[in-house]
Amino acid sequence: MCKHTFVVMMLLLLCQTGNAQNSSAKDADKDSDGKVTVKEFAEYAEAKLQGADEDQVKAFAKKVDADNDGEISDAEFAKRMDVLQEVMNDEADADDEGEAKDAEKETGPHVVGDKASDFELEGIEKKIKLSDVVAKSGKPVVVVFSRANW
Amino acid sequence: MTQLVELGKNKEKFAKAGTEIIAVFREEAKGVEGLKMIKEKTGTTFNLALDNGNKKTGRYSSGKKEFTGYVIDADRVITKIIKGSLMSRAKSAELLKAIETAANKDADSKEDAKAAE
Repeated sequence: MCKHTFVVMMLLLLCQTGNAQNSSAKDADKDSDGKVTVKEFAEYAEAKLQGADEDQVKAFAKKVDADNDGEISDAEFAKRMDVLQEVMNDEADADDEGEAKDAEKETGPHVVGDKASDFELEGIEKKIKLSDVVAKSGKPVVVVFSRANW
Repeated sequence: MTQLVELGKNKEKFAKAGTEIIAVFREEAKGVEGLKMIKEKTGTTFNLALDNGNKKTGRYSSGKKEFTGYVIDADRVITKIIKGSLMSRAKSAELLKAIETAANKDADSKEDAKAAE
């Protein structure tokens, strides 16, 4: 699942939990032993987010466990939305970085192995479109850049 | 234009390989008329194209005073880039070798695909 989808799913969690102030860690206490383990919280979150990426939900659950004691206290549970916000911000930053790199890749100079960017240029009798020339020949095509010395 | 003339001397070899050549001009002030003059002067049979101002081919040959040659396979993937300058451009021998390599690779991958069926 892509990061954007994860963020959307998390937003769903935000909505599905309804009034967050009325929810408590008890809701996630599956075995009713009075403690909510990270695993239980992950299962609780996953149940809310059917189809969500398990690893991402687990990572989210681990982050909610701020003191890293393996349990989600009431205080930690209450702050889960703040953690969610942090996760969303991190994901958004990572996405922006990734998109910037992708954009650079798609606009930088061609290298061997690239899909040759298509172009349609004025020719003497007709327009010359690279993809058409390649499709028509079915063989390798050579493109050279030249200049006239008048 | 020297490059065009050199490539033209081997046009039969390129034709035999089924290869089309597109020569892009980016500084042709006379536009398409200029292309016609180039064709007349060099006798070339290759495709001559115009991209004044480098508006549509920006990802190709983008260095300063760079005149790079590209071999593009039947899947439109760039298989060879031969850097060129004002004084030195991709020559027929180099291009034909790269074309042969690309064609063989393409044939191999088609055979592999056929065998996998």
